[in-house]
Amino acid sequence: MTSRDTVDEVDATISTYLQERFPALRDLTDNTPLLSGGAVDSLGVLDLMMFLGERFGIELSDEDFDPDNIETPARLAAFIRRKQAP
Amino acid sequence: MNLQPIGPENIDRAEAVLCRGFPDRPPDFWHNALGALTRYQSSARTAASGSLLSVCGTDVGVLLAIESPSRSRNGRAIRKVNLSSWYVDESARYLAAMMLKASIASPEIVYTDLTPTLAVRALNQRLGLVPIRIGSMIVPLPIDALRPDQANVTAFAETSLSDLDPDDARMLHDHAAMGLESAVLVDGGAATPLILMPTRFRGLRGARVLHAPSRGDLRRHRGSIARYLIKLGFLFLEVEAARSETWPSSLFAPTRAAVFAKGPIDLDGIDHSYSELAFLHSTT
Repeated sequence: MTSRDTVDEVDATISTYLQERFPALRDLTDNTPLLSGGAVDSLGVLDLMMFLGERFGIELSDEDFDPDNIETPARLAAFIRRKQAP
Repeated sequence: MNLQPIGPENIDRAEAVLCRGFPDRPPDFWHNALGALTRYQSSARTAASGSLLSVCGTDVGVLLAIESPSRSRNGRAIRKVNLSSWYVDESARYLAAMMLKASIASPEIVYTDLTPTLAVRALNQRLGLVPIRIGSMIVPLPIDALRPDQANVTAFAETSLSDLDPDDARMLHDHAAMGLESAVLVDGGAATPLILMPTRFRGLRGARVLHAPSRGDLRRHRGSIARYLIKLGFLFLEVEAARSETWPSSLFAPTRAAVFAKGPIDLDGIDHSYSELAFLHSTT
């Protein structure tokens, strides 16, 4: 799936990945802090961004690693949708 | 996240982040270290001495990476980059792995980390830097000095330059200027460069091998090397080694050295020339 992912599919994919990869995120909501809460560490961010890049077929640049894009699942989903936008 | 090469325009900012990250260092330490790296980079025409990490315009991290030319056993030119000190502010710690990954991206370069903490070792391995040797062999020199050996070891300053490859001569000169022991092992007609770093073990003075093209040569000529080092007041030779590689009559020190690397590294030789061990040693 690439640019045709629906909003729900993006949200669900991110949520499933985060809950499976990071045990501390079992009770995940759209606004759960990922970085400031310490749930996702440095290697976790690396894994997460690699997963998102591959899963959604998007190319990530250094500038994409901005806390505004990563801080919560909702922001991650919005970031993916922006990257997928034509 | 923005990763900029360290250069004249941001070297002061890199120094500020290093001072913040390593507050135990003396006030001038990073200023002197960055100055030495910049001079080297300029004269050797290598890549930038590392990267400055910023987020939304704020400097949050730094990584010193020292590039130097090297050669494989068959004489092929190799680029090697020693990942030296790095630090990322707590608020941006989530970017540490990304910074490191971005800094070791070229498949043609040999990357080394010679001073990883236990926490960083796990990170290194996830990023493809594998442990090459963990531990050191401590070789007491008084016994080795009695071994017969036809080779001869002399200080670089007392060696005829015509005996040396020009690149080796420059390397030995540069390291002698940094306060390291630069020497030449002459065996028959062959002249082999050696660089040793003064160190201590249980309060005694010793010398750690930073550069030797062949570990086999070190072992074969340990008698000559021991006699040379004893004259300089050293009591032991330290060679990074796995426990299984230790020589008879040596001690194994499991926590003194840790060498991680990524890329086509020469496992027989030791080449930490122009690494943090050389530059940061000289600024201490």
